[in-house]
This record gives sequence, C-alpha cells and structure tokens, in this order.
Amino acid sequence: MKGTHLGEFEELVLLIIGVLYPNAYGLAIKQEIADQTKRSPAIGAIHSALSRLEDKGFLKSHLADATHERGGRRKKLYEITASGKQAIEYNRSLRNTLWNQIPELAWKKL
Amino acid sequence: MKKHSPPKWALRFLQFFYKERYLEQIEGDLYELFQREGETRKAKFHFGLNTIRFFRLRYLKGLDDFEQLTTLAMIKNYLKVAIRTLIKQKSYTAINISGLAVAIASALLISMYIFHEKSYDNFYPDVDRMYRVANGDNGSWTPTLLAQTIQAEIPQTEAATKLNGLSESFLEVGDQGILQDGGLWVDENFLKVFDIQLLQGSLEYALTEPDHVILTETLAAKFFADVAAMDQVIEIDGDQFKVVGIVADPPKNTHIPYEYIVANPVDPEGKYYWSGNNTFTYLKLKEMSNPSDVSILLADLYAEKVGPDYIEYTGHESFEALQKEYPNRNFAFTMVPVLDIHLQKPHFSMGSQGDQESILIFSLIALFILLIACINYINLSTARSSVRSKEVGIRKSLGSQKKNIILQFLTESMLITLISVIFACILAILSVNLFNQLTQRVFVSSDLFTFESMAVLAVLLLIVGPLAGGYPAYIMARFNPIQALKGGVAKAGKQTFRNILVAFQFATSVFLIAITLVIYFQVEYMQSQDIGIDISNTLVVKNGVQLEGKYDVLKAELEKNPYIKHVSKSSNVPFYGFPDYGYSVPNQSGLSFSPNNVFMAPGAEQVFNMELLDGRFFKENFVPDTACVIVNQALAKELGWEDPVGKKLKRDDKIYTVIGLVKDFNYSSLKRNVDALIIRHGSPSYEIGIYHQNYILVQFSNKNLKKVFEDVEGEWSKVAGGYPFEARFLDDTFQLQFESERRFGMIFTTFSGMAIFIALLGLFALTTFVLQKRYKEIAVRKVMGATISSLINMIIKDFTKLVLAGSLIGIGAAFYWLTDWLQGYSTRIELSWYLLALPVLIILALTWLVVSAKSYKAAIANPSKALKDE
Repeated sequence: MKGTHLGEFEELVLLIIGVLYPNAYGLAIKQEIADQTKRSPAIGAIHSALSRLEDKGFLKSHLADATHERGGRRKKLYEITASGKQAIEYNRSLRNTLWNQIPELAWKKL
Repeated sequence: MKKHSPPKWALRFLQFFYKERYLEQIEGDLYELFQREGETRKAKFHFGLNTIRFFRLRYLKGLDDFEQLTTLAMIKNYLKVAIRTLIKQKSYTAINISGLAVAIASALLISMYIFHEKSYDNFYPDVDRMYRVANGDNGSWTPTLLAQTIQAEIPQTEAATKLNGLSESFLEVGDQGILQDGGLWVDENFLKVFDIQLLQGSLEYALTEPDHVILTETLAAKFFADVAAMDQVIEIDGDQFKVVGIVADPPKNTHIPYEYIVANPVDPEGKYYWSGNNTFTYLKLKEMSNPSDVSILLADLYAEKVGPDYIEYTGHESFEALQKEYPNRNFAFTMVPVLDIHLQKPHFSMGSQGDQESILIFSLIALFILLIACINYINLSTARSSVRSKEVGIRKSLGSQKKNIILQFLTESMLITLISVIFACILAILSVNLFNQLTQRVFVSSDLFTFESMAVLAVLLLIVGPLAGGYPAYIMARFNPIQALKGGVAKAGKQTFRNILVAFQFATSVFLIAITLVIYFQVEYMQSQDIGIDISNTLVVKNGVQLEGKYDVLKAELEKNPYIKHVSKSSNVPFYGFPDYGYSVPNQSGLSFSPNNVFMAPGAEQVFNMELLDGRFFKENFVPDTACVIVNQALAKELGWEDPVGKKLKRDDKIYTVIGLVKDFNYSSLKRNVDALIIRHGSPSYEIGIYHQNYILVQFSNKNLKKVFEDVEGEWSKVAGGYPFEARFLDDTFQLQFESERRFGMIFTTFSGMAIFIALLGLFALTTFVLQKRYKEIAVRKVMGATISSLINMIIKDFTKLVLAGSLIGIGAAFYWLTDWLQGYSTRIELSWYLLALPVLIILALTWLVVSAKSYKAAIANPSKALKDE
C-alpha cells in the first residue's frame, strides 16, 4: 500500500500540523519539531515531506496573506484532511494493538 | 551590526531551477529563517546552504516551464501535433511506416554486406605493402622458384612466400581421422608476409622443417580436446607432421580461410622449371618502397627466367619476337594488391569470392527501394494535403509563417522515419538468415549494429526524412490561407508531378520483374541444353588415387552389380574444370597452342556416351594407345584440319597420333563456347602420374540414388583401406555452375518482391484517396445511371495510363541491361517480345486487382449515403 503508507518522519510532521492548527506552515513546523523532539530537520526536508503528504491527500492547504518578514511571500498553511486523520489513526491503533499483545513476561526480564 | 541581505545568486538559482508553484513557499520560509537568525553573515550563509539543500527533482522545472524558449516549445508542439496526426490517420501511417521500414531494412542489410565485402583482408597491419604476384595480368599460378628468386634478387622485398591450397587432406590422430579442407601448404616466409601471430609456439622455429604443421585453435580443439596440441603428431595423407604452433582462426573477411598450415619448403634437390606454374606467390615490400619500381623488376625477371624456356617451346627467335606476335598478352609477372583480391580479382581468392558487380547492383537496389518508399510518402502526403488544408489555413491566419508550416510537416516525416528505422532494425535482425542465403556469407545479427551501420542509419534518417517530407511540406506551406479555409480549393500539389513519381515506381517494378524473369528463363534454358554427352546416372568417386592399384579390383566388383553399366576413370570431370596443356604441331612449322587436356581410361566414352565421328576410342590393355589422342571438333577447327585422324601433335619431345574425332560436347560452362580438347589415354606412365585415376566414373541404371551411393561406398570401403568415401552425382556438379545465376535470380526475386510490395501499398493508399475525393462524383454518376463496371473502368483508366507509361521506361532500361548481361553467355535465350510484355502484364494485373477491389467497394455503395449530407 505505497500510496497510504506513512513514514516515521511524515507521521511526525502530520501530528505537528495537528498540534499547530491553524497556523501550520513550513518554518513553524520546523520550529515545533525542534522544540518538541530536539531534532533539527533541514527546512528542505520539511518541504519535501509536506509535498509528499499533500500528494497522498493527507493534507490540504491554503495561502495566507503576504508578510514583511517573508520578503513579501505568502505563507502556505496546512491542515490535516479526513484521510490524513485516518492514516495517523491507523498507525496509532496498530501500535496499540501490537503493544497490548506483548506479554507481561517480556517486561519482567528487563 | 551591519545588516546583511540574502545572497542574490541564491535567489536567482531558486528562480531559475525551481517550479513556480513551489518557489513562493521555499523563498518565504528561507526569508523568514533569515530574519529570525538576525540577518547576520551566518544567516546569509545558511540561506545559501539551504537553497542548495532544496535541490530536489520534484521542485525542478521541466521542459514545460521554460516558456520563454519558444523554439523548444514549438518543437514540442510540432511533435505533439505530429503524433496526433499519425494516430488519427492510422492506415495511412501504417502504410508509410511499413513501406519505409522494409526499404530501410534492406538498405541496412545491404550496407552491412557492402561494408563486409570492402573490409576483406584489411586486418593485416601492412596490407598496403602486400601483393599477390600474378602470371601475366590474371594468371593465378606461378613457378615454384619465383618466391625465393624474388626474395634473393629484388632488394625492395621484405619477404616473399609461395603457397598452395586450400586443399583437402585426410587428417589422422590416433584412430580419429577426418577429411579436412582448408589445408594451406607454405614455406616459412608465409608467417612474415602475412604477419601471422602464434598463440603458442615460436615464430622463428615454426615451419622451418618439412614435417611442421600449424593448427588453428578450432582444429586443435577438435583433435586434441584433452591434451595440449603442441608437439603432438598428426598424420596428413599418411605422412607424419609435428604440431609446432597454434594460430587464432582467421577472420571471416580473409581471402585465405585456412584451417591448418603445413610446411612445404622448396626441396633444394628438386628439379623445378620456370615453365611450370605450380604455386601462388605473395610478397611484402619494404616500407617506403615504390611498387612501380618493383613491377619493372618483376617484368625483367620474367624476361630473364621464363623467357628462354618459353621461346624454346614456341620456337620464336627471341623473347621480343614472342611479345610482338601476341601484343595483347602481358608476358610479365605483375603485382595485385592483396586488398584488391576479394572484389577485383576474385579468382585469386581461396575463400568466398567477391563480386564488384554485385556490390553495384545491391547498392542500386537499395537506392531504388528507398526511392520507391519515399515516393509513397510524397504521393500520399501531397494527395492528403487538401484534407489538411484547413489546418494549414488556421495556422497561417493565427500567425504561422511558411517556416513554421514546413517545420511542422518535416517533423511528421522525421517522426515517421524514426519509427520506421526502429521497425527496420527489428526486420533486419529477423531476416539475417535469409540474407545469408542470398549472399552466401555468414552474418550474425550483431553485425548489423557496427559503428558503420549505425552511421548509415543516422545518415538514412537525416536523408530519408527530409527527402520524403520536403516536397509535401513545401506544397502545404504555399497554401493561400483564405482559399485553404474556404476548403477544397487549395491545390494538392501538381498532379503531373505525382503522376511522374507513380510512373517511376512502376518503371522500377517492371524493370526488376523483367530481370527476374529473364534470369529465370536463361537458367532454365541452359539446363535444358543438350551438352553433347550423357551426364545423368553417373556417380563420380573422388580420391581414386588412394586405391593404390586396387582400382581393377573395385571395377570388377562393381561390374558384378547388375544395375551398374560401366565403370571407368578419368583425370578430370566435366564442369569441374579441365587444365590446359601446351602442344605444338610438328607438320605445321611448330605452330603451338594450348588446348584443354583430359586423361581418360578406355570405357569412359561409354560412361559419357560420347559420339565418335571418326576413328576409334582407346582399347583396353593396348599399350601403343598411350601415344594416341582423341580430339574434338573445336580442336580440328582451330588447327584447320579437315580430316584429323592420323595427324600428329607434339609435347615434351613426344609425338602423339590422333586416332579419333569426337563430336563437341560442353565440359566447362554453358557461358563459354566449347574449346579445343585433347583426350589422352590414362596410363600409369610417369608424366600422367597418379592423376589419371583420381576420379572413378560409375554409370548405373537405378532410380534409387541412395542405394547406388551406398552400394558403391560399400565396395569402396572393402578396398580403400579406411580412406573416406567421397562421391557426387555428375548432374549435381553440372547444376553447380548455375549457382551464381540462381543466387542472382534469388536476389532479384526477393528485392523485386519488396519493391512491388511497397509500390502496391502506395497504389492502394492513393486509390483510397482518389476515391474519397471523387466520392460525391461517383454517387452522382451512379444516380444518373452509370453502371458499376463503367465506374470501375473510369478509375482504372487513369492508373492504367500511368502503369503503361512507367512500364515503357522500365522495359527500355531492362532491355538495355539484359542485352548486355546475356552477352556473357554463349548459350542464351532471345529477348523475345513476350518476355518483355510479361512483366508489364503482371504489374498491370496487380494494379487492376488493387484498384478495382478498392473502387468496387465505392461503386456499389448506396449513392444516397454520399449525397445526403451537405
């Protein structure tokens, strides 16, 4: 299921977009990821993850007004779509199911 | 702190490479980041770095994004429109592509053949200094002493060698024995002249002793699969030889395709005559030496060495007197460059022979077929131009210039050519085997894709496309847009020009059919000729010399067999070639001449059923007959003898008496008249040596050829001491002489088939188009009472005129060429009117078939259909 598969980084970006609602755009996402995960992804990496997610239909976007600090360029604000939600929910439930299946015994040995 | 601004190059980089729809976001984020980092030098550096890090395929501009490059956009547009047009007119495209593909495939195969033929022997590094020494202008055979004399006396010589072959010998290693051809018998200089490199063995040592032999890799592997071949002993025709070297197999394009090289040094004690020509001579000149100087020295050598022997034998006072009497003969040794042998002097070749003429014919055929296919394209696209006139009109009114229209149509033709080239490659690969049969070569499909062939393809692409597309493009570009938009008024090119092209196609087709037919009839005619002797039901057994005196045993055993009628033997067999021997006539003041000569045993006249006009044939066990000869009518005529029996002939101080006169029979080729022939008695005397019994002739009366073959083989193996049995039916040998004509015929049949196929394709499409144009006219005529046959007639009439006009030209050209070709045959058919009318009828019939089939459909259609929409 290549079309709907979510990579780890993509999932992270998707979740962050949810967190930032309604002000999720490229640089803000980068900042939020840096704050929350101590990772520092390149802005280029964020952009290509966004483009991929948009191609898969997990994101929709609209353009906001131009601002001075962006050199007169408009922001592109992202929101999660229904299928985007479905995709992260699937990942979440899959993780939970698997989590629940781990026998208690497995932890005992740690 | 000084405020920095983002680097300009980075912005330009972004704008140039990245797609518009991503650009704004990328730039925006980069700006914002830059601001957040405080517009410092570091921020500026990060800006630049991030710009590069955005470099991803998905952001890059594609061809669509370079809107400012209009030429590129136009080319894209031309291509797009061309592809759409081709898809829309499927049948028309298919006809064009199949015609062009067939034509280009033939051109590709033919160019491969021509490159191969021209490449013969060019792999020798010093080939420009290598020469074959010819006796006179064309004689292959030279005296044995020539090579060593050249080596000793001509200072410009780097090396000279004598060689014989290629011959067939019986090779034996242990109990494994085979008859192997490709034996080359040479002296040690051979390795120097031909720059032979040994894979194993020493160049200095190899071939220095008379018992040395060098094997090719293939042959060595055949005999010594398990052990190293070097220093092994191999028996060749019963003599022991030592393997002293292994060479790589010679390349395909050699004129000496040897399999093994046997030492054959000049025997220092042997007696050699300058008048006897027994070997081939090759020589390699030193670098920078002038070949014409050497030619003079070679001519002098001839005068000095051969001259005295020659005049003693002919009885002339001096060598000059001899030269004076035969001004047309070149009494000299001459040099033929090794590079010229394959094509220009093919009779010097020991392998497959080339043919200068066939190269010319092949090139012309390729050219004609290409032209026919191009004409198809031109005709179809100019004819269809009225269909596309509206398109051109709209283009022009929207601002297209002539140039744009021409480019549009050229793009279409280039595209069609390109597709055809791809199909042509596939077609060529598939037909390599068929082509090998036609050309008697062994090409593989990878030979098609050499550098040269690819260059030819590229050139074809660049020539055929514009050639086919140029004229239609020019015609379309001239359309007046107003007329074109009104529709139907625009002229679809000149009708006469198109007619000339169609006529040319038919001329070519008729020409090729005429040649095919005449070749076929000529071969048939030659085969049906009475050659004067009976060659049917005769088995010729080779290597009779191996019987070593047990011939009589074999003959007696064979004759016990009820269906074997006669058994005899001879030195040579008709259609295998008879050698010529010099004789003089004692009573006619030493007049000398060189008739063909064959030795026959008594009984041979019965095998061949020769017709004796006077005198008698040889008697069995009658010793005086060895001094007697039988001559043919041609000889009597040459010497002006009214009554040959009893006349004397002289050779080597021996006098021979003519005891019989046979009716002329053909023994060499039907291309030649019957030459003078002397039949001598095959006796075991020294002069005749062992050759007199080399061929055993067995005449039988049994329809089961396989049984005859096996029975004779059975008797042979009882007496031949394990020597392999090799035999051939004489009429098969007779048929062999027509081999080249048959091949020639096959080539013409194949290619004329293709030419006709392409021409008919074009005709089919053209008819379709004409009918479309006259769709309404036909309907109106039908309503007014025209019959179906009168309608078909109307359409056919136009095409018939074209066919007849084209045929006239084709027949003229064929007549001219065929008259010349038939001159090469002494037995030939007359070019009667029906032979020339037949091709015209064939083409006419095919035309009528195609045209009437198409027009019948149009004529039976309901006229109301055509007339209702307006």
